[in-house]
Amino acid sequence: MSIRLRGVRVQGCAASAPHPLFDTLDVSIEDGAHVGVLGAAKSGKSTLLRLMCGTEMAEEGNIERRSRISWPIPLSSFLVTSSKVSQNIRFVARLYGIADDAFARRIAQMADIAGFLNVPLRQCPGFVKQRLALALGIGLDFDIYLFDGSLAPVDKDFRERAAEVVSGRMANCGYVLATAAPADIERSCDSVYVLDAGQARYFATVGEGTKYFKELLSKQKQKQDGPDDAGHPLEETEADGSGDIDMLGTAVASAIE
Amino acid sequence: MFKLLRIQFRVLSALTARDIQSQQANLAFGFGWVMFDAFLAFGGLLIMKIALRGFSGHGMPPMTFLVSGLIPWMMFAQTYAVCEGAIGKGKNLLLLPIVTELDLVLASALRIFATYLVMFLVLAVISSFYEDVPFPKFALGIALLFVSMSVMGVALGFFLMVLTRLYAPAGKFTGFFLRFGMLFSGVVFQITSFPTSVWPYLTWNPMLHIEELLRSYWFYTYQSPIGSPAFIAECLLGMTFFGLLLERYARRRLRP
Repeated sequence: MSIRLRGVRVQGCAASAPHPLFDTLDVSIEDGAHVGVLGAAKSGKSTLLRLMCGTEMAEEGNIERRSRISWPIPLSSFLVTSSKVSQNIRFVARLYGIADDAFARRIAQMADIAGFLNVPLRQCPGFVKQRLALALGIGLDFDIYLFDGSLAPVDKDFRERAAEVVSGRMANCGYVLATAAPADIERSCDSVYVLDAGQARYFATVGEGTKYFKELLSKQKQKQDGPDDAGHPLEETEADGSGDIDMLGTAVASAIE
Repeated sequence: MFKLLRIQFRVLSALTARDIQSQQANLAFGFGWVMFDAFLAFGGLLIMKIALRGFSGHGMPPMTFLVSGLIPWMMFAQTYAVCEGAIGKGKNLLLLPIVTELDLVLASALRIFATYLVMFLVLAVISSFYEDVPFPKFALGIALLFVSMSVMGVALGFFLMVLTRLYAPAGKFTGFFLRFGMLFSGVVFQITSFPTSVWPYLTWNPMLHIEELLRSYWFYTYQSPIGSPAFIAECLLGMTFFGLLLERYARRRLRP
């Protein structure tokens, strides 16, 4: 049970770009492992997740999937805003063969949106869509869950509850968290891949991986700004992943532990 | 194999149900308006047909004649036109690993099939009572031909999809030829309306064979001189194989 990418090549969106987004990329994710993917902006984190779950095709190489893999959570673009919340949940349930009528209620309770079940999504407050996207993703049984950006990307009021829910679901499952915030990875992952120049470099210990990533970011910054301009305060903030996402990662990670 | 088929069926039924729900979803009675549109299109052609008069042969009253030929053709025409659109419309669903482009096209084709099947049955009953036409001679044959038209529509749709992805302006020409082709596919005029000298130039068209056989299987008074089930079966197999091959090629090499 695992995901294996061997010698994968992807040109990326800009076909005329001088370098491919991924070139001879090798990644292995075992079931039950909590793996982080660290990468700067536009380094291909989301593309890697799409390759893992099968919604993106590689131009070359081999991808083996021997597990039930989620879509990149929190994906909400497939939700129909003119349909009710319950209809959206039922659609996903039908798609994944869940005949249980209680599924919609369970998802609504999980996301704390039971009061909105019979309301068209477009008439719901913004947080309903966020919570629904998270609950649908983690509410289905997968072997490996893919998280894009954060483990619980929801509104402030729901963060603690989301952290509990995510931790409950992830206790016996594997997940991949792709983010640009090393702090999130440090708190919630056991190993890490760092995306750099079309390759993914594996680190069995998160500490080494995040250190390498921070060095990589500062080198990139130096290159962009010139040799005299190194050590910009903003760089430190980004590399540490502080701010909103960081706090959220802490909540989820402590709940998992 | 059986498990995969079950998953495929499950995905298709979920997508079709969603497709039906989302039709005209901003209006009350959403899907009802889709049916209404189809009835209007049929009504317009029926009025034209009655006004022109005399093109259907003996024992083939105009309304039943049109129901037997035009409704399956309308389904075919909508099906081949929907392929590219279904993929474009369902782009967000392609982010779910369980959904493929083929699923989206098949779900849309099934939605169109269901719409026109209902319309076909309703209008067939109405026209048969109104024009006092007996129950079709070979109902199973009609059902099989109806399904064949839907499958051929999907196959042709994939061909057109690849053509337009390779060369975008191709759609301008294909649209013209396909609309023109309706006149020579037995939809409004049966083959006996044309001089026998032109038959060899028309009988390559599998749609003409289907339409001719539909009339032969429906009316006791009409026996098509050209309709060949074997030719239809060959075309159906060939087109389906070729269509699926093109879909696979487009999915890997020709992203929209």
